[in-house]
Amino acid sequence: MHDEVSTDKRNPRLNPNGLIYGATEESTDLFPVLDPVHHKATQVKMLVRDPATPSSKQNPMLPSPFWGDERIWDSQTSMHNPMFDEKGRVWFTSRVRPPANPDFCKKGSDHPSAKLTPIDASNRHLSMYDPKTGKITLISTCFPTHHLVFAEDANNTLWTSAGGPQSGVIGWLNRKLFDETGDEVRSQGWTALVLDTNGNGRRDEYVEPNEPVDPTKDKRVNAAFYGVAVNSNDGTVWGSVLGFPGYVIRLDPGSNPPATALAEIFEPPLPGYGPRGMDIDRHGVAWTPLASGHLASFDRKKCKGPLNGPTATGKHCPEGWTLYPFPGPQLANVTETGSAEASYYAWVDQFDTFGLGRDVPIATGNANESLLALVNGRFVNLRVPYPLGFYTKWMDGRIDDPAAGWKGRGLFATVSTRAPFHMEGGKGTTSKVVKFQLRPDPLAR
Amino acid sequence: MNARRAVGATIVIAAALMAAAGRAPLDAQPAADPAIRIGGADLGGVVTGANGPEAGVWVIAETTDLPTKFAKIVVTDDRGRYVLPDLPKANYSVWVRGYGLVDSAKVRTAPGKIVNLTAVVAPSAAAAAEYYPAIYWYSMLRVPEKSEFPGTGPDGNGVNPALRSQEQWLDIVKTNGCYTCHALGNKATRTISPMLRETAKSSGDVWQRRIQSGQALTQMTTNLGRMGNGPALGLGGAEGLHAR
Repeated sequence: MHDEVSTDKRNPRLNPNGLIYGATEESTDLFPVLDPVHHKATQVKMLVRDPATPSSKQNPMLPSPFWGDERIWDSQTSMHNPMFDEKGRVWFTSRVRPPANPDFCKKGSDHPSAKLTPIDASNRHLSMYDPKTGKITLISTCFPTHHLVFAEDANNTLWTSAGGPQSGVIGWLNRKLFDETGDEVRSQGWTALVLDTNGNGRRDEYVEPNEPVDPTKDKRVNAAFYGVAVNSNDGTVWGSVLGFPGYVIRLDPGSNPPATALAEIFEPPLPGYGPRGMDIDRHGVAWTPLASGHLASFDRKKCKGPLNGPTATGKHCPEGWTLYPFPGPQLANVTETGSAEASYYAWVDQFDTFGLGRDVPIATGNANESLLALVNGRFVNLRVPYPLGFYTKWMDGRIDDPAAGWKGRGLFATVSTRAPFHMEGGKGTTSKVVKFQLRPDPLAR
Repeated sequence: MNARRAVGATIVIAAALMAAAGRAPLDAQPAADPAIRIGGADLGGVVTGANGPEAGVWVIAETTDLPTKFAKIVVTDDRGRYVLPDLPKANYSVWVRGYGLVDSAKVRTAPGKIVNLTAVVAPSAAAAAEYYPAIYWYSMLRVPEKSEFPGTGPDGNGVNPALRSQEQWLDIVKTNGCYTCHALGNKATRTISPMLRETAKSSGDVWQRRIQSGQALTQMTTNLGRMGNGPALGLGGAEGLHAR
């Protein structure tokens, strides 16, 4: 299992007491559905458009100490993340076809994005499951997908990340247009990530990543998002970029995103490095866990220097970053601040679904076997002690009943390791949904 | 690491499934401590150890009677008291887990009862450490010294020459490599299975073989190569992830 979703990230009152959906990535094409009231789990088969879509079963692998010659992994769809929309439909990043893109994505196409930034291949796309009808809709995207998030805009734009930085694009689906027309070609778009290097406030002709800076032009960066989030205050799209030292990028889509989107790139200062997942709070502050063993915040409002121009190339705003060392011991031979924690993602409890307050950032404690909530500068370590080996990749919070106090709200996360048989219980141990609730005292009932 | 206090004593964790909207009947049961008020869907009691009440330990209730496996976990207060609220109707195994302890014997019971439990102090530090999260084991990883960077390659110190600093190496062995898909430091990764032991002569050989199991062979071998196979493979064996 990679992740779950229980509600609309923009409205945690959606789907009260309702079914919870999971994404199984490389394990299987069956996505799990959990009824947390009646304690029942079912499965739905995700579809592909092309039967020639590759499966993880074809991956090279030697026999397993746990499973011998049995190839237990068999997934064509590679469902990575689920996300609810405001209509109660569940959207996935999933693979619908082999990687080679159709012609409309490529050079020579008249698609507005392809004309500017043609793409030859994408290894994951989009799909949608409507629980009311049981219908699955597949969307072949030119751009690769990984994580996904809905904007709070009139089009309910679905922004996606690409995973690794190689594609050099960020893609989206105009969900309103897609709902109205079913036209997956017209409804999708993507853009290169271009810095306003000439500093004139708009996107112009640019030099490619492998070309030297030209002060009269803008500069494309070879980056794409891993985590992705939307600033609800201004509609800018934010993402983390893998690599060393990695980046956080702010993308202002502009009026015609394929041609007008402008990026700003911010590099964490040492001792911080290595972001992975990312979220943003209602004040526009980005939060990302770092491989250095810190939870980092980046507040663009703290930047003192120019945010565009020839010096705005990543290292220009160290003052925007704050690093919070994760709990736990540091690795032997490592003298910097931070801990051995290797957190995968951060999620911000924008609506106080848990009870520690609005806008509390919560990181996955993948080595602490916990969730790590940062409250007033100090971590609250929510350890899952049983079964040993809790390792999650995301979470969300839902308010089932706003009048029911602590009983009416809580966080959900999954056991997300690719190797659940590494946990207590060993072979046969499957993934789980874990719900966290915050009582006012240990005897509350 | 010796403190037994676990998480804030007000956290409810429900592993697997949980009836979020369930309501317990209000027919409170009598208890020795009047502060412990339970209804027909609750369990409560006091956890006591060799030195009296055990504060900050977990009480776990688990059942397989429901369509899915279900467990609910709470923490004791400063006087060792606990209440497990809103349990679905079923028969449960209930036990105590905590830092400095080993699991207590499982008690079979059903909601609506006062169940006092006895914590069991770990007979050794090693026994207690089995319950620590992976990070405490992982922190003993033998990371190459700063002086070993930049790497000098397979004919030198084994570290990939492309890695200019210890931080770049850590980025891979932590968040953006190994820990991308699974933990390191948990029981399964700090021990060697008999199958792997039979096929390899050294801990490095074990890890060279181990990373070729499963659907992520390509990613794992690539990541080890990014670090430099020599020290990367050596860190996971008896000199590395095993307890020292």
